[in-house]
This record gives sequence, structure tokens and C-alpha cells, in this order.
Amino acid sequence: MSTFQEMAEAVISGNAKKVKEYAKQALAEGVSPQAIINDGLIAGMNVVGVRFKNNEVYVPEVLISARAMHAGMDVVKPLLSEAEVQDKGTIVVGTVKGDLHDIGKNLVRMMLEGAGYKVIDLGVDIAPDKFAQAVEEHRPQIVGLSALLTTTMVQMKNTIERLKDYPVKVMVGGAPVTQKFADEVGADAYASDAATAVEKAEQLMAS
Amino acid sequence: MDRHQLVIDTLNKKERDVIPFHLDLSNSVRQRLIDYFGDPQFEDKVGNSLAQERNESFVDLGNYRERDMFGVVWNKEQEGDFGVVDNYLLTEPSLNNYTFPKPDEALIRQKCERLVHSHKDQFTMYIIGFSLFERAWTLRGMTDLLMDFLLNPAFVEELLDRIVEYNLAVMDIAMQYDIDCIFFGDDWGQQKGMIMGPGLWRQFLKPRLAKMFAKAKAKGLYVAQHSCGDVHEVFPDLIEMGLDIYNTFQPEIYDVEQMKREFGRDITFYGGISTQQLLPKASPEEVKAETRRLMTLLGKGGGYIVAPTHAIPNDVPTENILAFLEVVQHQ
Ligand code: B12
Repeated sequence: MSTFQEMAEAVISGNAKKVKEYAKQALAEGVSPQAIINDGLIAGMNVVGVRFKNNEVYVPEVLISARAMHAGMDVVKPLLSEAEVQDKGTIVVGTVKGDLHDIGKNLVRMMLEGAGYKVIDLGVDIAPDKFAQAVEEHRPQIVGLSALLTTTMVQMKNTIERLKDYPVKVMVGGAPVTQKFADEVGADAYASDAATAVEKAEQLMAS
Repeated sequence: MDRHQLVIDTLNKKERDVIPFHLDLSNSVRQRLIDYFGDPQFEDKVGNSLAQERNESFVDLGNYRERDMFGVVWNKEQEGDFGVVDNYLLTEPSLNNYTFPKPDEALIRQKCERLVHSHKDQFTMYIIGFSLFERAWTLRGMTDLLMDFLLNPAFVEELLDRIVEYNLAVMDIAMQYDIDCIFFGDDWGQQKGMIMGPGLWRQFLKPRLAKMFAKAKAKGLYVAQHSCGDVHEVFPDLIEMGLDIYNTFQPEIYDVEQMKREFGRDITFYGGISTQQLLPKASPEEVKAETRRLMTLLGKGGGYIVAPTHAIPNDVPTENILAFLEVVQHQ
């Protein structure tokens, strides 16, 4: 059978077709869907995250890896039992009100998905009330806010304020955002890139 | 004072006691300053060293929607001058269902005439914005285009070639006029590193930029390039291609001193006054001090046009714009 190593390699090189084939093959050989996800697909995405952080690969490579990972997920997800669908945790992400930049936020979403989280992506230009609505509906453990403009960063503060009565942690990021700013607005975590966002999410889940 | 010569000198790395400057404004701030000065023509009077016209026009579709010259519809409901794309026209990695526009000759002539006749003592720049990567992604979508670099390289090559063809045709008309510079606008940078990385940039963008740069240089024009964000990795490439002016130069991204030391002999920096970390939140006194600091540091030996790093956005208080102006106007 194809090894998990090969499947992970196919994710890393962004070869969606191969990932799909390997996943089907592994299923036929009796490998559990959960193992395929954890030891093949997620393992591959983890490597991509580290390489992205180290500037060994760039946004295009991450995008095609995420696409390959999803191709594999599509094969195995329908076979997971109800209990197994219990994801690692749920995270709501969105770009704050007035801000339409979404490439960074999309990468964060993909890396979080690649790490096994269920991610609800609200899109761009999301008002505090909409974040609150999504929190009520999806009961996430974490909300991730993205802002790329100094003119919209202030919406992070408003959103955190709006979410303060919910049992949810808030993580922030985007070009102008700094740890100092994150502390000032009372965010629970800040990450400067998508791979670190995964690390921070793991820490928030554990705390 | 001859503002034109001032710019030429700085480009030739000849230090003068005055540093050329330019006040780049977003539309909303322009309106605010018109009200403040009570003068719709105030911009002509602030003393800008540069005169710029853009190769662009939009058709107003109502409901905050505008169509650009390539047929792309922009949603301008939110903060900002150009907004976001509503309709990506290339839904497949193919040009089969898309017809490229021809340059708008009347528009180019009108703008170039204005440049040469109304701005005699300024350094004149014709701006071709969205000049390559950005034009490609506004047609195809950023995520799809970035994946196409790896998955459909032949399509990307063709798309970029057609964009270059268009730009060269624009230049053919613009360069019939006695202008100083062609100014290309295209964002490749993010806060840290390049969106597509230096490898894909060299593979896909560099050879095409080189073609456009060479055309301007062959006619004796200067070449300026704008890119937001961090593109330090390709500075040696840009210099090798003969770039004269690099615009934005975000100080929160670059080690300004080191960049000046390393590349300052070859290139002129245009920008430096941060619209991200300085202008929105500093006090007017801090704006003045930082503007003076950068002018001293970057102006040394010529090679600097002092300006904000981007068209000044709406969160910058009027006092801070006046503080910037006070320093650059009273040198
Ligand atoms: C591409 C771009 C655009 C595109 C956006 C396309 C899109 N679909 O997103 C377009 C052309 C539409 C655009 C428009 C504008 N832009 Co713009 N844009 C950029 C640019 C060049 C790159 C941003 C990008 O995509 N980077 C790539 C991604 C991968 O990086 P990233 O977003 O930083 O994300 C990473 C991290 O920040 C982090 N992260 C991001 N989000 C999150 C969220 C969480 C929870 C976590 C943990 C981490 C995290 O992880 C990501 C991956 O590692 C930046 C330059 C810069 N310095 O960033 C300017 C920039 C952000 N833009 C700027 C401006 C001014 C504008 C406009 C106002 C321009 C105008 N006058 O109209 C408009 C505003 C539109 C609006 N209302 O939002 C300025 C902002 C300055 C300021 N004062 O804040 C910048 C900084 C450029 C500059 N020279 O100053 N822009």
C-alpha cells in the first residue's frame, strides 16, 4: 500500500490527484479514515505550514497543498462515523467590518483546517453583531479576526467587546496588527502568520 | 525653484539642500483638504515636485459599482479608492471567452497633454497602474491566479503577455509626449516577504517587466515602480533591469538605513513616511520629527523623494498632513 509518507508528500507537493488516489487505495486496504486524515493529510499540511513560516514556500504552494488536502478529505470524510466527525474544535474566522482583504484570512483558515479544526469562514466585512450571531450558532472555542488596514483595526476592539460575554477566545492577526495592539484590545492571542496561528490555536484550546 | 531639476538631480544622486516631495492623497482625504483649504485647486499649490496622470478611467454603474477599462466591476462600498472586484471575468484558466481592450488613445493623449502643458516645472510621470500581476489577478481572482502559477503556467504566461502587449501599446502613445517617466504600479509584497515568492516572480514577472522597462529606457525616460509591502528580495533584480525609482518604501518593513546603504547608490526611494504606523497615530510633532529624520537619512547623497508610503488614507488626521507639509515645504 502507499504509505502515509507518500500521501503526505503528495499533499506537500500539491498533487490533488495523487492524494485522492492514495486515499482511495488506503481505504480499500482497510486503513481507517481517521488515520488517513491524521497521519497522511494533516501530517502533510503541518510540513507545509512550517515551510511557509520559514519562507521556503509561498502563498501559491500553500494554496495548492490545501487544495490537495481537501481532495483527500472529500474522499474520506463521508466515511467517518458521527462520533469521529467530532472535530478537534471549531473556529470561526472572518475579516472585520470595513475591510475586504481576505488572502491572509483564507490562508489562516486553510492551515487551521489542515490542522484538523472545523472552520467556519464568515468572509469579509463582518460586523461585530455578525460575529456574535455566528458564535451563538456554531459555538466555536475560538474566533479569529483579520484586519489589514489601520482604519479597520479598531473594529477588532469593537468585536472583542461585543463577544466578551461569550465563552470564546479571540485570536487576531493581519499586516498592521502587533502583539502590543492585541494586548491593548484584549485579544487572547496574536499570530503574525498562518502557521503560528495554528500553534496559537493549539495553546488556546489547551488553556 | 525648478522642481523638475530638483528631481532629476536627486535621481542622479546629486545632493541638493532641498529634497523633492509629493503629497499622495486618497480621494476621501483630498475632499477633506479641499474643504479645509476652501480651495478645489489646493493640490496644485502645495508645491509637489511630481505631476502624475493615471492610465485609467471608470464607468459609474451606480450602487457603488464602477467598471474599469478591462471590464472588471469594482465594488466601492467600503473604505478605499478602488475597492474590491465583483466579477472575475476569467472563471477558467483560458482566454477563450475574453477580449482584451485596446488602449484608450483619446484618454492617454488628453492626460499626457495635461502633463506636459500644465506642469512645466514638475517631474512628469505617466502611471500605468495594475500593470502586471494585479491586472492578471483582477481578471482571474488572486487565489486562482496564484494556483495557476503552479498548475497552469502556460495560461499565466499568455495572460501576462497580453497585459504587457496592452501596456506597450499605451507606452507607444504616451511616449510621443515629452514626459519624464513611466510609473508602473503593481503590488507584490506582503508585510513580510512576497506574495508569490521571489522564485515565481523571477520566472513569470521579471522578464515581462524587463521588456516594459527597456522600452521606456530606450527612449530616455525614467522608470518608476510601485509595490506595497516587502520586496527586498528582488531589489537586485530591479536594479539590474534599470529601475530608477522605487515607490512606497514602508519603513516598518525595511531596515531603512541598510537599504539606503545597500541600494541607495543605484535607486531613488520615493515614499518612506508611513501611512501604516506613523501618520494615523502619531502626534504632529512626531510626524515632523520622523519626516526630518528620514529626509536626513535617505536624502544623503541624493536619491530620495519624500512622500507618504501610500495615498494617505482617511484615518490620518488633518493636523498630521499639515505637519508633513510644513516640514517638506520649509526646507
Ligand atoms: C493585496 C492587497 C490589496 C488587495 C486585496 C485583495 C484581497 N482579496 O484580499 C486590494 C487591491 C483589493 C487592496 C485594497 C486596498 N488596500 Co491593500 N494591500 C494589499 C497588500 C499589497 C497585500 C495584502 C495581502 O494579501 N498579503 C498576503 C497575505 C498572505 O498576508 P496577510 O494578509 O498579512 O496575512 C498573513 C498574516 O498577516 C496573518 N494573518 C492575517 N489574518 C489573520 C487573522 C488571524 C486570526 C491570525 C491569527 C493571523 C492572520 O497570517 C497571514 C498568512 O501568513 C498589502 C501590503 C501589506 N503590507 O500587507 C496592502 C495594504 C494592506 N493595503 C492598503 C490599502 C491602503 C488598501 C486600500 C485602502 C487602497 C485604496 N486606496 O483603495 C484598499 C482597501 C480596500 C478595503 N476596504 O479593504 C495598505 C494599508 C495601509 C494602512 N494604513 O493600513 C497596505 C498595507 C499597503 C500600503 N502600502 O500601505 N489591497
